[in-house]
Amino acid sequence: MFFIKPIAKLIVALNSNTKPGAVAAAVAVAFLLALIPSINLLWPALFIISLIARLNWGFEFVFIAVFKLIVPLIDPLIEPMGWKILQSDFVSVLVYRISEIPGLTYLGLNDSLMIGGLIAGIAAWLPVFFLARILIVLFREKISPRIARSKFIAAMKRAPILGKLILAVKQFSDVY
Amino acid sequence: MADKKIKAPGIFKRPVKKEKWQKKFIKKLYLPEDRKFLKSLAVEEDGYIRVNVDGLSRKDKKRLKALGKVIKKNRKAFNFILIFILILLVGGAVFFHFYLKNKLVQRLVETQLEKVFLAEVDTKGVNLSVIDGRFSLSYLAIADSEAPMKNLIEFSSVEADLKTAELLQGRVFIEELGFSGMKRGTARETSGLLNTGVDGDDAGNSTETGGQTPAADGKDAIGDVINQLSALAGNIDLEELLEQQKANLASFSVIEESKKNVDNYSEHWKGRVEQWDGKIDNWETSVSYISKVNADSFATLDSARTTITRLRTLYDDAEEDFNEVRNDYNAAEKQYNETSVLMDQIKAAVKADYDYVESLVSLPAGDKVDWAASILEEQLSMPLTKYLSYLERGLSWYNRFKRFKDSKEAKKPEDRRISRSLPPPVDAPPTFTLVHAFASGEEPDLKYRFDLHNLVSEPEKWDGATSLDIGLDMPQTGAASAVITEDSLSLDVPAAPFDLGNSLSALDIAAFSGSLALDSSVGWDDDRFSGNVNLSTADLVLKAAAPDSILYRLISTSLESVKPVTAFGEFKWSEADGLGLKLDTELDESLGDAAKVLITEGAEEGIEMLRSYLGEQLEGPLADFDLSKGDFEGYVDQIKNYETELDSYRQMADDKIAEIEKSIEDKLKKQAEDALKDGAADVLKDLGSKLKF
Repeated sequence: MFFIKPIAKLIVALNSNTKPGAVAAAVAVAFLLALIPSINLLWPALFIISLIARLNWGFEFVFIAVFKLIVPLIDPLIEPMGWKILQSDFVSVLVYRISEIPGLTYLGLNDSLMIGGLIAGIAAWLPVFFLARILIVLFREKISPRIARSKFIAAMKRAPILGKLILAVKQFSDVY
Repeated sequence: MADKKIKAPGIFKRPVKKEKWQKKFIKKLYLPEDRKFLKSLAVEEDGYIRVNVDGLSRKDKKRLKALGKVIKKNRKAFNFILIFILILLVGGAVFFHFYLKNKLVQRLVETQLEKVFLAEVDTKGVNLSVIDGRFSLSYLAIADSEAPMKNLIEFSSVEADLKTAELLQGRVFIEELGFSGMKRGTARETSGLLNTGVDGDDAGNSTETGGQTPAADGKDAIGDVINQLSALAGNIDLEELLEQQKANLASFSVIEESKKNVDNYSEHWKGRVEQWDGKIDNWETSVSYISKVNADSFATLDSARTTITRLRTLYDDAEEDFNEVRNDYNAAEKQYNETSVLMDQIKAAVKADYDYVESLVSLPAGDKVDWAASILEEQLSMPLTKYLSYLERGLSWYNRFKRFKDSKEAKKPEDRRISRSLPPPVDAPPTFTLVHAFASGEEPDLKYRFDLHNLVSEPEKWDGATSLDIGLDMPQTGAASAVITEDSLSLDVPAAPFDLGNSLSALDIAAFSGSLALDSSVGWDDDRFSGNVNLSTADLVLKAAAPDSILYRLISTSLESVKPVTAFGEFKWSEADGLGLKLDTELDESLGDAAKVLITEGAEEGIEMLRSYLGEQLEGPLADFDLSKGDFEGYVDQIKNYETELDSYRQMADDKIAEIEKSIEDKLKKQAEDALKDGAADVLKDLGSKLKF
């Protein structure tokens, strides 16, 4: 089935020799990318940079989608914050000056959601990164072995779809 | 057999320093069991770490190999494949810019225009400079899909000059956009049909048909107009006209209504007269009795009492009937007087109808402009009000569209994430600026050029005023120009010759030519338009194929008196107030006067005929009305007679009673006298006898 492969890759990434920082950074970047509006130059620029840096793409894509669903709920907090920041003398002058530099006007900085999202995303980057990293390490060292040994998983292996999923995980695990 | 060391796979082949082993190998693994596994294989020799694979199972060897790959992979900080792809893309873009861009743009322009015009599009010398913001074409020709061997339009050059720096700052700044050497209908060397798999002949045939249809339609439309004008100018069947207009004539219905009223009166009084006839017959017996009453009727006291009583009863009856008939007569007389009012109404209605039928063929003074407008409407084959209604409809569509757009825009924030932006700096240039655009070209006997200046999104931030200059140069007349600004339009056209040739032959006009000059200006403010138009013509020549034609006589008479013609018009229009038009033209006066003379001449006879015909039509109903009225009058007279008769009966009874009373009085008087005489004699006699004593 088409969804088994990507899910398997995610599970493998969680429990593989992938650098926990790469997975955690992917989650943090996804949070940042979900917070800022996507119709501007800044979003694709950050996205490409995140692709070049060795972040875990699978986690990045999945978490962008997940956070995009959640972000509208926190818009009422982010937008007024962004608007307040945007109206401050320093930022407004900075935004106007950046907008005057050829090409940079398309970064879309003159937008309360962009500024609010960017500031919130940057501010939350490190906490999200460390939180994700701790959770991954915790998962790999404590949770994963217990899950692997649990009777529940042994029973689940016999279920047709999960059996296929476990096979796929195994297949990708070998690669790592 | 000597001990042979089995080599470790990949990156584990060579021994590495202890520090490096820790930093570059162990720390690049993130699963505790993998680290443990690798550490278990490490053997320290002289400060170096070697991976010992002796005695490793096949599975562990495979695991070690995989770990080597993972370590190698985890050492890389960047995805070099992606960087390589990016470098390739950038290189491709550079190659595209220098070697492919113009060809691709040329193909793009041609295919997109071909999709729009459904015909071949040829371009030459395409040059796009992204950095400089320049685009130019040295030749652009669009074939005519309906005439493949001709170009619909061609340009000798197309140029666009944009400021790239402004574009990168989110603003569009077009310094110049020009279309030069515009020509229409030029010949092509190759067919302009698109190679779309459609059979050429079929395409040609359909094209031919498609090409002729609008022209044929146009001819038909002109034919319709001419037919209508001919009908307007032709003889009118006055009887038919009157029949058609009968619904608009009030007198027939007024006469009918009046006759109905009079008939109702007659019916009523006929019944009353019949009743009175019976009563009068009865009165004949009573009258006979009264006339027979004499002294004998008072022979005895009883017979006298009976006669007097009966006579008094008859008198009372006569009095009562007389009063009743007098009331009837008063009522009948009142109704009879009302018929005079009906007669007046009939007269007024008939007069109004005569006036109306006269107005059908005569021209009331002061309506010349309306008349001229109606002629114009006929020529346009559509009432002017319809054109205005289109304008109003267009405006209403615009308003609806605007409301729809506003409502959509108002809804937008609800649909998306709501955000706010800082306003652009006060001194920021407009987001769209078109400094100058032009198009120039030529037609047979005409050169033209359009220049558009200063089209900007925020005019308050731009010094120049928006304007469109239109220049036309005709060899015969010289240059004409039009200037359109944001709130005005002015036109200046020198005397331009026109020659309609024999296109008005259906109106018996063999030739019509002259020259026309125009000087006008129109201003607008929101949805209000106002302005003036000055039109002048000169050297007008009109030749008739059939000089007796009414329309020809009308026009030629008008033009004879006014040469040249000048017209001055002022108008105001707004959606709320509609059109206000003031037209002052000698031609209008002259046309109106001429029309009035012609129509008056022609109408006199028509009016007589109409009057006569209307008279004939009214004759019958009026005669019927008179008859009804006569009947009614007879009944009224009859009741009057009855009134007189009953009055005489009453008088007769009264006289008879008086006569009888006098007769009785005389008789009693005589009897009293006689009795007195007899009594006196007896007294004297008695007295004498007593005296003898």
